[in-house]
Amino acid sequence: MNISPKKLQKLILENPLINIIDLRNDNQKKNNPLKNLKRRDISFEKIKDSDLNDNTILICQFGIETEKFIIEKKLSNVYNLIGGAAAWNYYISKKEDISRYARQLVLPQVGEKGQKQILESKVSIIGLGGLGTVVAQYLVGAGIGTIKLIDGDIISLTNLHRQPIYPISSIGDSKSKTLKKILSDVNENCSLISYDEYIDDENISEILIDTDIIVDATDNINSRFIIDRFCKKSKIPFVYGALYKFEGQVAVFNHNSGISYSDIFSNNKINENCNDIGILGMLPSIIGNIQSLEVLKIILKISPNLSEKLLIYDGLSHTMEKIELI
Amino acid sequence: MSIEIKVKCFAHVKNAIGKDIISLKMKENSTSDDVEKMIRKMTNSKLNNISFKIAVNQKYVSSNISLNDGDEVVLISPVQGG
Amino acid sequence: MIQVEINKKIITPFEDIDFFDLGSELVFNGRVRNIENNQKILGLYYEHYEEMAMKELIKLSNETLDRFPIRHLFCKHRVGEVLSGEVSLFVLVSSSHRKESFEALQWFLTKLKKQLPIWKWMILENGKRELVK
Repeated sequence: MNISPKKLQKLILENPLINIIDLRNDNQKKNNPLKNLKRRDISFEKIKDSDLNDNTILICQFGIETEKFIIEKKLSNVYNLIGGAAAWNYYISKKEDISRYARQLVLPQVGEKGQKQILESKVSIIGLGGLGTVVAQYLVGAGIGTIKLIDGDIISLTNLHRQPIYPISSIGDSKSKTLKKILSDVNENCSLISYDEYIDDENISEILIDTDIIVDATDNINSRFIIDRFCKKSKIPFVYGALYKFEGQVAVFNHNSGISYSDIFSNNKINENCNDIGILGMLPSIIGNIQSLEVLKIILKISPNLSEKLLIYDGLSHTMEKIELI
Repeated sequence: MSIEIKVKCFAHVKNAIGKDIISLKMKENSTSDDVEKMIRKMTNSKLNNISFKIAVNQKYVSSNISLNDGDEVVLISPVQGG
Repeated sequence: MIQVEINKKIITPFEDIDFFDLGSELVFNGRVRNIENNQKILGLYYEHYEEMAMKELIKLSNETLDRFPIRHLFCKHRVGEVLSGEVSLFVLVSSSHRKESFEALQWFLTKLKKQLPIWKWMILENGKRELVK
């Protein structure tokens, strides 16, 4: 019996232990590896009756050789994948394959419609340190379609305690390029663009062109004012995040022309950051994830959210305070 | 007396007949054209728009020829090698 | 002399050629497109009448050698499942000078497409297949 890639995807979700066998030769497997599919690699020459059980699925390059094989051997209860590895890889590469998000689609606030909105969204993350690396990872996981990774910094040894995604071998390398490389293996639906530069009033419009949401994962007030100016002008929401020892803050500014960062914070010209003050890696991870959650709430129009509110988290007492900003 | 002709099916013919190979029992002195007629009849009008070159025992025949028992005949629909 | 092959093996240009000659060496690589009959395809499936295809290829290759002053003709035609971007036909013609190589290759390819009992099936994005018109 023949099944389509879409049907195979369904069968796998119902039964993750399903018996899938790739019968292609080594060259074919090397040139066109099967994407995102757990299976056994055998070959037409080596396959035995004992390898086949009920509901086994056989795969070749286009589904033609396996179709012949099944007919010749008169195998019942063995399925042929229509279009083979080529059709499967094509199906997986299309953004329409949203079954990997099955566990979040179930939420009434998400659904297939919401997942498509997530896949069409464009988010820019400014700063790829403790906050930015966490935001990037979870937004890639959630299926954001396009993510810009912006940071002119390079990776140093003292970053690693709170940015554990960067391997030791990457010390000295560009954060944006390294993070792009790592996250490219996580989700093919996500287009990652890296900018190995610091934003300023001159380059920001060019870098942030065509962005729906901006995530502030910077470590200084000056950058926040630059972002704020841009967001006010272009009417783009700005998901603010900041850290101080065991405390963290999150807010959503400029959403639906709402209150802006500069309405709340004045330019104190304070230049302290985590390097001087100190921090444990868990704090940026918690705050970064709250920011990521707010990004999805904006995309999916979920209430309540942190628009026009300031959330303050205290990691020592584990208390959260939400301050209305208007 | 009848002769048995082995017909291998490819492409359009295989699509229409549904098999790789069939055996035709035909009258003695049947010809290659007779095989084509028979196949067209067997497949109703499925092969109406297709013209064939005929191969007997793996050689093209440019005109109608007589067949012998055990001959292999193939109706070759328009090819696209290369 | 001629050296010809028809099989499912992936074609690596120049591999398995038993000889190289001096002078003009003209190479043709036919790579499967990703569009056929105005439709996007994942690749082509080459169906062939095995016994006759090889005979016809040998006949055609010898005919080419007789017709044109070329010294050697090497041809590999891949059959079975071929992905877009992979090579399905490789031809190498060698002669003293290039004029005869170009003419021989052109003639050989034109005849090959008409004579060899090989058919192409398009593999569409949804995995289904159709004979190329």
